[in-house]
Amino acid sequence: MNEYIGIILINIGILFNLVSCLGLVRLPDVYTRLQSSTKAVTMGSSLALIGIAVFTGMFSVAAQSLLTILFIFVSAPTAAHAIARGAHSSGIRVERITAEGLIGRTIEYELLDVVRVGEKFKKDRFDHTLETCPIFEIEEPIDDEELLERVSKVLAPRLKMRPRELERMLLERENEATTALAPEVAFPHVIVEGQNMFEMLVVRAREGVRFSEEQSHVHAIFVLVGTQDQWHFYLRSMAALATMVREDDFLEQWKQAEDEEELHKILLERSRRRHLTD
Amino acid sequence: MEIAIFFSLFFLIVASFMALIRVIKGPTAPDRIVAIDILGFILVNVCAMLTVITREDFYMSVALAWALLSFIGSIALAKKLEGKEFDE
Repeated sequence: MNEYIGIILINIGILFNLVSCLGLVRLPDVYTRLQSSTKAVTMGSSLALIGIAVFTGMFSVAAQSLLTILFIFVSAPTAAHAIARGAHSSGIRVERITAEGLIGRTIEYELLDVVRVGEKFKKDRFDHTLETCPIFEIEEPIDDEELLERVSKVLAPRLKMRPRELERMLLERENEATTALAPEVAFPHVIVEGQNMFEMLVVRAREGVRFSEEQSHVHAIFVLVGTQDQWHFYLRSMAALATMVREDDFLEQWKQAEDEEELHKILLERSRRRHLTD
Repeated sequence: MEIAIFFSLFFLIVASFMALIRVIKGPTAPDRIVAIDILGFILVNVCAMLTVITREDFYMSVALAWALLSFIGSIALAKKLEGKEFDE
């Protein structure tokens, strides 16, 4: 009778071990693997050892299996904790849980997505502009006139203007006073004729754009063009952008971003931060 | 009874192969350390099962010693991950 009870306990315990090893193979990152494997193995091994003590019915075996259980109960969580600490301090991130392969792989990006979905009703016009504005990459070093020419070619059709005219207006504004307001950031902007139009265009220059002789090269350019009736939103956008770029690590992130998608994400993340702190 | 013992040993072998897959695939060092830790516990169970098969009690002593040693190994590897020495 004892043997039957023992073998049932042993098999249940070992099945727990098997399931935890399945988790070790199937789960996505080191923390979830730790969580599945160490807990189930601790309890499964304990049950199996109790089963073995019942099965054999020998005093020495029972005593030693009890000692082993006690030891496993102390050591397995300690080892798991130490490994998790080590993994965290050696820079292993938590994998994202839902919809892998969407944007980023780690859970920070996922949380950002969640925050954004949760705050959708709060999303204002500026966020929408940030999301939809075209972003340009300029690889080679150029000067401000060439930059404005390129920008005008893209923006003019959206504003129902001729590229030449827009370029001329932007240049005039530029010559009045430089729009490179912060170090390495410039806001070329102009008010145009018409009604109910506002366009923003963002440029990331890898080599930098030379705006004037004495200033450093500009890496982030935000071109704002609007009509007179959008004056309020125009000013608000500029103020928001100015707050964003003034943060210490903005330029560093901006220069290191891999592609357009990441640049969009930086802008949105920054604007979200502004909302949360307001 | 033999069939039940056979099955439990079979499950242990499958489990240890799963842990070995994780040791080989990685991809990072902590993954391998977790897998080795678990492999140690599986081997403790194998030693305990040998007690059942042979009816010799000294295999339990082997299991106890193995549990102690694998714990020390895991802690040492985890400390190494953290970039510390073992006595820190």
